[in-house]
Amino acid sequence: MSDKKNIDRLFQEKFKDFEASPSNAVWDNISSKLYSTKKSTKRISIWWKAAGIAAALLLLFSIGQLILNDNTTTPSQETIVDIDSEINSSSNNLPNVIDKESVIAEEKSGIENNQSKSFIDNSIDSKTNPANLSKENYSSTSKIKNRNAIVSIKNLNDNNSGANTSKNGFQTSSDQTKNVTVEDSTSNMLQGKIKDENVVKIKANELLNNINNREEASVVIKASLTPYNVNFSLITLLETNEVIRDHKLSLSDAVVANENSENVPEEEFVRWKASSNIAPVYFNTLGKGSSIHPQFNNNSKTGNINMSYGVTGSYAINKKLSIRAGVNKVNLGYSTNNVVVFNNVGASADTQLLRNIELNEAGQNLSFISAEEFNFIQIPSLLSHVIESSVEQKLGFIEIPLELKYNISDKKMGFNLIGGISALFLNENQVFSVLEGESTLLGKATNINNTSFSANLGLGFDFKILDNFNFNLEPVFKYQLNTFNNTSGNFKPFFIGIYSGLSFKF
Amino acid sequence: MSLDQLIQKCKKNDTKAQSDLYKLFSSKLFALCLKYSRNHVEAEDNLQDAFVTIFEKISQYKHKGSFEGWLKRIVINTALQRYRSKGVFNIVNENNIEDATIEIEDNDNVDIDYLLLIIQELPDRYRLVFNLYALDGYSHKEIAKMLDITTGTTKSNLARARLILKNKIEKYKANLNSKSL
Repeated sequence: MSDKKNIDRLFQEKFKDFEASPSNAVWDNISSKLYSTKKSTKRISIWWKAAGIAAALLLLFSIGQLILNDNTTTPSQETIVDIDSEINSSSNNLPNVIDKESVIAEEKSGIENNQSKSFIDNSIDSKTNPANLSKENYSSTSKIKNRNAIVSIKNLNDNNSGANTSKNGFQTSSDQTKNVTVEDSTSNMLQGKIKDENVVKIKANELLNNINNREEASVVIKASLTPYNVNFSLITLLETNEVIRDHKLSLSDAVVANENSENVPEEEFVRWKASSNIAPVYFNTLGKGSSIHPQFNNNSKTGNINMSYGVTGSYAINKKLSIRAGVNKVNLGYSTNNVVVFNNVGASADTQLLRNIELNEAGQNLSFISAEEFNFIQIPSLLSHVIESSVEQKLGFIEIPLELKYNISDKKMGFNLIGGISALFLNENQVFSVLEGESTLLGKATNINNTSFSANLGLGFDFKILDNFNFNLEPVFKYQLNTFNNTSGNFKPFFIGIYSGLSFKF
Repeated sequence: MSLDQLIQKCKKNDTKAQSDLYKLFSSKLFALCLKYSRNHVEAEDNLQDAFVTIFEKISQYKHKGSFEGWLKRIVINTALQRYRSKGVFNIVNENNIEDATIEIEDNDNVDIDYLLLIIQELPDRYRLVFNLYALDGYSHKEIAKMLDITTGTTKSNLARARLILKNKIEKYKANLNSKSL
């Protein structure tokens, strides 16, 4: 054993099969580092899918609206009543409500398969079942209702994705997740009627036990549990009566709120943003037509510039994409020019000329004729003298926008694309006759739906003022889908708002 | 599951696959880290940084050459990067000595932990050069390029490293013998 040997060889031989185990902490550190980078990429892909589905539905919705525009004369009020009653009847049936939640959890797989069509069918079933509505009943309801159902399903869909993604956030604390007591109820959020928390607690626990994939279920349930959530949904319920929509709003917000309250690790950018906005809005119609009477189809219409103001809350899903919802007060108005208004004593039948306006007492004796119908040579000088008059319609809405904002450039000046839908709730409705600058209240329009929707598309510019404060400028085009019924000609109302405001990140 | 399948899954950021890959290679790569580092703690830091790089760059692995070789290069680069950023390469006193073959009595008595210890105790650059040349088969030219020094310097560093190691081993053996006597 005394052979001389190259020292390199000695080391080579000794270290040839040398292995050593690092401590477990090393892998923990690695996986936590990987997790932080991976989380964002995973979210992007899921949200791209969700956004794709949302966009597809919106497109279908818009096209359907265009095609069916003339046929759908059923006021959407009826729709609300239907949905309301569905929810109310389901409130008597607590387990069913929870079933519905479980369906939501199960439907996640539906999203992943991208079979959005069958997914929608399933969801419709799941909605009708708790309400004890038979299928025939359901199909006999109006088309508008179907469409609304689709919208709300789409929203649920968004929700699921939200819950799904937030699941990542919960995973690290999944033990805690299971221990969280099911204090408030999912059904509380839905109806705001059930007071017995104990019952709900039991039912929710049952659900936890029954569903195979516990974690998913707990996430879904948990998502609806914060007091914040319940308050939010109750308030909005009372305010708007739009149960399904609010369900969605509150649920997605609650998911987010939960995520926040859990102090999810690796929160590397600011997700929440609150903004105020004020905007001049310009209302007009795209095609020739009139919401008042066919005889005014060819009259020129002048859009009035009114104001819109409101607040918005926004949640950044990732650095590129954020979702936002808010409440705006919007006033719209437009004038139908060249309307001759004259006092028509004793010819009450003529008041029927304005079929879409319910005249008040002052207007009972008035008649309206479009000056476009006159051959100018025939017009007596007396009449031509009053040709400067017009009929002005003033509308006010409470607007609940739900929009996605996609960031294109994030430099000193941020540049964003904005798309989404708004629900519009009518709260002001007046028709004036304007004669040489003096306006007289005539009455109110009867052909405006109390609830309608608009498709929104816009650009957003952000200017940084301070670290947390931005100044925003957002020109947004909003195409109204079913604001008016019983219109004549090609009346396609829209409004454009140049929204400006301050936003605060927190 | 074959290694190729595992790599494919890692490319898709599959958490389970990443964990499996780590389990498969961590002890081998940790051994490598130990040789290139001053101590155990630094070796763990290197391993951690190296694996984060591996998972970030695994999508760039084109299945050319051995995967283990690719992993080792990343680990070695990570270790070198640490010293590069600290600028320790310029410290050693340059008094070039000849690259001579240094021989030692062949003896299996030397404990591997001791060999590792004396490698870790070498000055940073001696340790890197010795590892790269003697244990991982890099040429002087490659080492010179990696460390941004001349081949003359790498040869001199290698010779000095060998001398230090030889002295320590002989001392160790002498100690061992005196104890056993």
